[in-house]
Amino acid sequence: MSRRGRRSGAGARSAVNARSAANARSAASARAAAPGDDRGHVIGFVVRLGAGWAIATVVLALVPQIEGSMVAGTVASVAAAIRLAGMRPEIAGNMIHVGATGLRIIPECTPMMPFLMFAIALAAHPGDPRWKLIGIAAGAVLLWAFNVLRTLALMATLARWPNAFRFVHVYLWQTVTLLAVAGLFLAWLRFAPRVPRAPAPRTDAPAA
Amino acid sequence: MRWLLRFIAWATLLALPCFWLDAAYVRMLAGVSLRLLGLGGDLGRIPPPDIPPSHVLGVYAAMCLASTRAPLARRIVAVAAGLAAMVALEIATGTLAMHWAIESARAPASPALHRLRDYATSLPAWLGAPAVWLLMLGRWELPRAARGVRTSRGGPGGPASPTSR
Repeated sequence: MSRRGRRSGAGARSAVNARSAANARSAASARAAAPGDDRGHVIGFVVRLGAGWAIATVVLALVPQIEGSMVAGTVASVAAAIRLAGMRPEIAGNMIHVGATGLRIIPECTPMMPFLMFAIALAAHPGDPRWKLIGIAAGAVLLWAFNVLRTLALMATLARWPNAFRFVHVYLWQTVTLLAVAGLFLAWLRFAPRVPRAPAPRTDAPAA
Repeated sequence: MRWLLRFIAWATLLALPCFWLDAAYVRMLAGVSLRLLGLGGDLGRIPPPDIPPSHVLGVYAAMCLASTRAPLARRIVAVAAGLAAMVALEIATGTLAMHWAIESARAPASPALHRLRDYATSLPAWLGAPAVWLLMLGRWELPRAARGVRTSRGGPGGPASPTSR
């Protein structure tokens, strides 16, 4: 290889090295800048989540009809699903009886809290408001259907394995409910329309 | 999606020890709350919460153990510090619930205030684990789709972005 060739090769290498160094600097600055940004993003989200819960709690306390209608709606939905399966449930207030098996629906048995958790998380997370409304509407339907299935499964457990009822009710279904909420939230984020980033300020722009 | 699968696997694994520990843990929480209020009494007469506190601990630990995008050291710190924070939160809300129950026995609160207190004291059961997890590991695990820097999987457990380690 000629001296010129070696020089131009060295030049190319140094250009590559310079680009690599620039990329490394840019990645390093991104790494250095991101944690604080991430921390602020997460803390802001948690604070908005807490504020949302505080507002929801006050509203639920002041309007007990919400809780009452959720219980009545859950009893009606579960009874309708049992009828669809060809059985005849007996309803007495918030009790559902199928044969010798009876289940009392209390506010914790309704999808109210999981839905609130999901809706408040969507409202608290940055994103397109229309996408949030779509997510909340879809979440309401899916969580309601999930809760009907959960209640039917619990009735079946109570009828067949009454000794396992407490464990299945509290440990299995509570976890699955949290999983359903987390899964819906992640799916909502996964399919969220991309939010365009704000353009970087031009460095050659004239000063005001 | 892989995060969810890991979460359900850990939660399933931890469900049994949490179930076995529940009675002892509830007795410990009630005992500490009674001591903080300067009261004595039969722990057996205190009704257990609707959602067992041991289950909340199990769910929190499962969330942390499923969060493989965060560095291992950070996850260990999150499990240890987060569990301590959750126990403290349970003691605080339990003590508050007992204090309000005693106060209501002396002078009944209005139904709205009673419901507000009920919701406030049941808050850790619903929000405790996700909120503490977000504060501890959200920096690594919270998807950033809504900020225009969407990761390829858009959820916990996806490949780490250059800013995540």
